[in-house]
Amino acid sequence: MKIKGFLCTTTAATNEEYREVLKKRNIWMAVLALTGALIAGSTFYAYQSQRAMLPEYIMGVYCGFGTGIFLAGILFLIKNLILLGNEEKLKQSRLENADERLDEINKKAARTTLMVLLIVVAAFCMVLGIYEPVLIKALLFFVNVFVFTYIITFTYYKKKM
Amino acid sequence: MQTRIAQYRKEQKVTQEELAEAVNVTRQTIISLENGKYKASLILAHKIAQFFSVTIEEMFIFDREDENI
Repeated sequence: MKIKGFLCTTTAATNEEYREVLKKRNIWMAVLALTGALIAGSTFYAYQSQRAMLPEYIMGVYCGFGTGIFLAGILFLIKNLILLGNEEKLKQSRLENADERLDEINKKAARTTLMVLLIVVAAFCMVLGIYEPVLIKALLFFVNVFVFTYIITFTYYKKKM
Repeated sequence: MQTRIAQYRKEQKVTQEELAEAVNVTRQTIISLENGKYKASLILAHKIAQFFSVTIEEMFIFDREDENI
């Protein structure tokens, strides 16, 4: 899966291998920045030309989301370009990306975050769902997505390992 | 899990930085391994043992707790 190279750690053992990984990641970062620019740009254009029927608050959220994605893409792109130009920083970054302990810490942190997020979202939707029934529907949607994704990924890794 | 990494490292005059680079991890991971805070994967254990030209059993001390007995 191509997305793996963008999201996960690397097994690059040398700076040259890691350089190639960063170059591929930069393509993803450019795509990310472009997507953000498109979202923010189109929302801003719709707001300026008053063509969108969405409330101003929602347009602000879209614009902020797009700007955030754009800035994140640009910042990671710049960071990667700096790394590509500095052999010592490149080595340090490679070791951090390939380090199995940091990988395990990431996985444990992600697992804990997911559990906390699920509990908070469930509690939030159950309580506020009394006043706004759409929140209960949103909760059921997220639970379904979670269960479905879990079954798919579990089956995938079961076959792989 | 206890290890003899620090002992072998001192004997062979290898710094944590040099070992970390050789086995493709950060220096902090070597520190955690030496302190017994982190259990190395089989691949990392193999790399470290190979680096010092010893067996995994010589480098890593497995106790009953590690083996879940």
